Amino acid sequence: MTDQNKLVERLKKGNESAFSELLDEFQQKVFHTCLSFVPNKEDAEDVAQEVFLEVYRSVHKFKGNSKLSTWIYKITTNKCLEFIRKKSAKKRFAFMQSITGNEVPLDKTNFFTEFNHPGILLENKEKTETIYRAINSLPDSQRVVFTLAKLDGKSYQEIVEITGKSLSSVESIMFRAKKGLQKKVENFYKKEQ
Amino acid sequence: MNTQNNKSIEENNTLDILDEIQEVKVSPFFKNKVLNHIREQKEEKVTLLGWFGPQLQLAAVALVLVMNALTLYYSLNLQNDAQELSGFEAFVQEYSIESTSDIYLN
Repeated sequence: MTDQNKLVERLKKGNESAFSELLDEFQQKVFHTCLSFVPNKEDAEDVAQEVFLEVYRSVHKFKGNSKLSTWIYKITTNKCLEFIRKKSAKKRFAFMQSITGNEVPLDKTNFFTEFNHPGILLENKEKTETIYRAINSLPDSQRVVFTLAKLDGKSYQEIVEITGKSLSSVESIMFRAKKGLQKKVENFYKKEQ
Repeated sequence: MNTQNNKSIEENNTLDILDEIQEVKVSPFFKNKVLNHIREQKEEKVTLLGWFGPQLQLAAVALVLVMNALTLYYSLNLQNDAQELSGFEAFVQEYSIESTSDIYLN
């Protein structure tokens, strides 16, 4: 029995020290992925916490067909997308309320969260925020592949395992995402001039 | 030409900025927070169905089986009664030829 299988068996039994080990190994990685999708430290931590609770709740469903890390990253990606969808819906609702007269404080931008990424240098903040907004407007598949590759630093092989897509599909999605982003950034600079 | 070049350099630079993002460390309290939540969920599970032990589960199953058996027994009995009635008594009732009738004439 491999180390991973042993850990999974202990997790399935609800062993607390197994969860402690799991957290030691994955908390930083999961948080990093969350922060790549959600550029706000507090929100990213909330999503990361939700990921580990989901792992606790559904570890009995893990069949061992993939690596444990791949399964956890799948959950992480889904939780991040779910969070973004929920927040965006809330934002739209707040906007509708502001139109109909019920004043609700509305952020300057239409971004789903307050931009607060501690890893971004102050002088790059504005430009990075622009790119994040552009990434947010990409279709889900492009957003996932681009974020995992460029922001989270995952290899194409890892992305193949996480998304379940073929390597050629991931490459073509990445190509389209980069092209789409380039166009959006171009439009942004045209508007600025 | 020059301005176009500058513009494309700036666009490329903008995407390259993503490589300059530095790693952010997770809060040192994160692990404890998650473990506490897991513990809370465990306790909730125990208190929710803790009283419903194996003995009670068996008793509940037995009760359901007895109820089913009783329902079947009574429904079969009712059918038998109806069949009996559909013989001679049903004939009498159908043609109103009962010898003792409670008809009062004013």
